[in-house]
Amino acid sequence: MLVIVGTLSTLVFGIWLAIERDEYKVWDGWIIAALVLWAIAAETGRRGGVPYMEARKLAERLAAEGRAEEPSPELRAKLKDRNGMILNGLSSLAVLLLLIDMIYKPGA
Amino acid sequence: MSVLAAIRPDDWNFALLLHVLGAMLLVGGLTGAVTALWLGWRGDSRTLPRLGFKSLLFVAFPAWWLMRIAGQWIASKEGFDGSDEEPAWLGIGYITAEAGGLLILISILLTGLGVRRMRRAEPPSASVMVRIGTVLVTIVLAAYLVAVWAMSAKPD
Repeated sequence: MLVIVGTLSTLVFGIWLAIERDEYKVWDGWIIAALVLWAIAAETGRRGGVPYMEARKLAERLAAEGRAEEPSPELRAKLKDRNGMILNGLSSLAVLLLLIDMIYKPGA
Repeated sequence: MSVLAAIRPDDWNFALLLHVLGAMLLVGGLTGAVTALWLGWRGDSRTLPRLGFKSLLFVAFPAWWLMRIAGQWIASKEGFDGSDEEPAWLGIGYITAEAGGLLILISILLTGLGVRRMRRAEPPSASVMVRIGTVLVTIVLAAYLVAVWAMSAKPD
């Protein structure tokens, strides 16, 4: 929930700021780049979260069955899901590039 | 050319990038810690307080150093280092950074000791030290959100 609120807020307030300030135009190159990076970060983050949501549901089911303390190879596999890790890594990289774009404002 | 980009010389950018990156990681680490610690308030889970402690120790604490050192670096580039005419937003930054850093350190000690005691208790029960750490970290997070606002809005 925090991530969803934060992700949407950065988009809304960022576009608002670009419209509000006379120095910026929404179609400036670095702002377009930021929007693209935002979309990449949001989508890769969403997809990367899928195996962990499945892990959470599995953990809740195991706990409801009274098996919370038993080792679960299936749960461990979901938490170590390679695709999830790669996608979350890509999302983090996109956020870092977005930050660099905001600071350096290339082409501005 | 963007007027705002002209106001800040290019050679300030790297210091500012490190400062903002440190601040983002710090707020993220504190948010993770606060969430885990409050969810584990009742003490019926050892995992959540441990996650909160690790968030503080391995994310928030190193991030504080990055934020603070890079903050001092950009302050010196802007000519505020040791200056008597310090703007209000910078003063807010210094106060929250220093006091917050001390409280983070205290919270790490309290939650670490509390988690250790919880590990030995059977069945798991709430630790007073973890609870005190939880409240302190929540106060720190709130203070840093004020600092983020001050750094962005730069009130006179």
